[in-house]
Amino acid sequence: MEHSTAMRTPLDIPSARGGVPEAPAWLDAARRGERWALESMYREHQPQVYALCVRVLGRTEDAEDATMTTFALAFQALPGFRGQSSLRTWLYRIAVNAATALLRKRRDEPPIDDNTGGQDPAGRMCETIAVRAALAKLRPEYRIILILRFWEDLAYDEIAEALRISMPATKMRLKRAREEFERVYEERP
Amino acid sequence: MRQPDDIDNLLRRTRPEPAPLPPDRADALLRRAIEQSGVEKTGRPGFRASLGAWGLRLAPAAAAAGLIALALFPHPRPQAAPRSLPTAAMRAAAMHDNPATGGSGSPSVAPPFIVPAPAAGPRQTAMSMEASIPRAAAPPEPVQQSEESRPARRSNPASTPHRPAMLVASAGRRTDRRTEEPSSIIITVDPPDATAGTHPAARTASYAYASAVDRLPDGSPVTRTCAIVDRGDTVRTTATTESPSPQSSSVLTLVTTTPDTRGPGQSVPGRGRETR
Repeated sequence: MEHSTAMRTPLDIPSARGGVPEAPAWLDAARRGERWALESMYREHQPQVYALCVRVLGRTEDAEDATMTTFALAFQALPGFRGQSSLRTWLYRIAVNAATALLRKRRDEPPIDDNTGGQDPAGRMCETIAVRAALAKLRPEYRIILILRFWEDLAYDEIAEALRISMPATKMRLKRAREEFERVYEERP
Repeated sequence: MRQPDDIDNLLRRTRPEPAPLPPDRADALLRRAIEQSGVEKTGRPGFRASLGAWGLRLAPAAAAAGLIALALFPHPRPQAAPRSLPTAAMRAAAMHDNPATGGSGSPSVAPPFIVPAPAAGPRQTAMSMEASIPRAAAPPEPVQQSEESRPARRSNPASTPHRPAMLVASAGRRTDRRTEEPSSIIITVDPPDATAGTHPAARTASYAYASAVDRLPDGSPVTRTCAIVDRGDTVRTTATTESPSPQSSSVLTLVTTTPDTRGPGQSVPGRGRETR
């Protein structure tokens, strides 16, 4: 069976920035629990969700667990998804919750996983390590909002959607997170 | 003092680019996500999966209630004997004199003696609550360990003829590639609609469980739990619904330590043994 619409790239899904999100063709079938539609949803969004989880958790094994949890919860909650936000933002919200739960459960600081493509030039390696170490020392909510803003490149309204906070609260939390990051980064040994 | 733009640029240029998941791992995650959600075909969580999840949620509450009941009533109270037990002669007399039974109906005869319902006291309450408590594992008896790995199996004694198909659970632990230390546990179960999970402190306590919902002859659901893995064990088995993780470092056989002679609704612990 051919499902050409299921092969759309993530870029084809309009985000909240682009106005009213357009529902993917497989969405109704996925709500009914049809496997091909669930697979389409997974194939389309898993790379982004997994990358977010790796960036937040810093450990690929934890990121796999969080990714799996995210999609299991998303499949269950899909009938209640009303399409008011983009599917990506909705998935990000679930992924952030799953990753935050793992972060809070984990007492140790996340290791700096070097399995991140290895594309850093040698001169930037120290800087990269220092940034990740500083992020790892931040409170989870500060770490997550910085990652969403600067690594996932989400707009303010998307961050507000993903974190379920108001726009002013988003800006305030981002400001404080930036200040806290700077303080931790500057006092590194 | 750095400018905000400096911080923004610093964060942006140090953005990591994680390597994508290998296709086999991505497929395995998808399979597990669909199984765990239980929505395939129906569009909503599977009924049995929901019952299993609720059973797991209610199990600690039932255990706590049972412990409280046992604490309140630690010793069975002696049964309060009826003041006067009806003798056969008294019953015969009552029967004989009762108009409803064809007796004479003489008003001088006491009404028929009613035998009090037995055991309505707290002892029975405590006992009935105790029956729903998943008990701790009995001291393990020496178990014959075969060479090949076998998953934990449920015995099926004749005393409980309604005992269902066995619940097989296994767990595999991934090893951190860098530190060579165990990092997380994967649990697989059979039947696949059984529920499995790890203890909240799984990373430190290495404690895993699995449960499945079964039905008693009267149709009422009952949650069965097994496969409790001890601290320090690393487990993997072959009879699972998912192929073992290639990163698992060793193999563990789960065996049932004692014959399962308990009533329905009680847990049957499995115990791990390492077979490297």
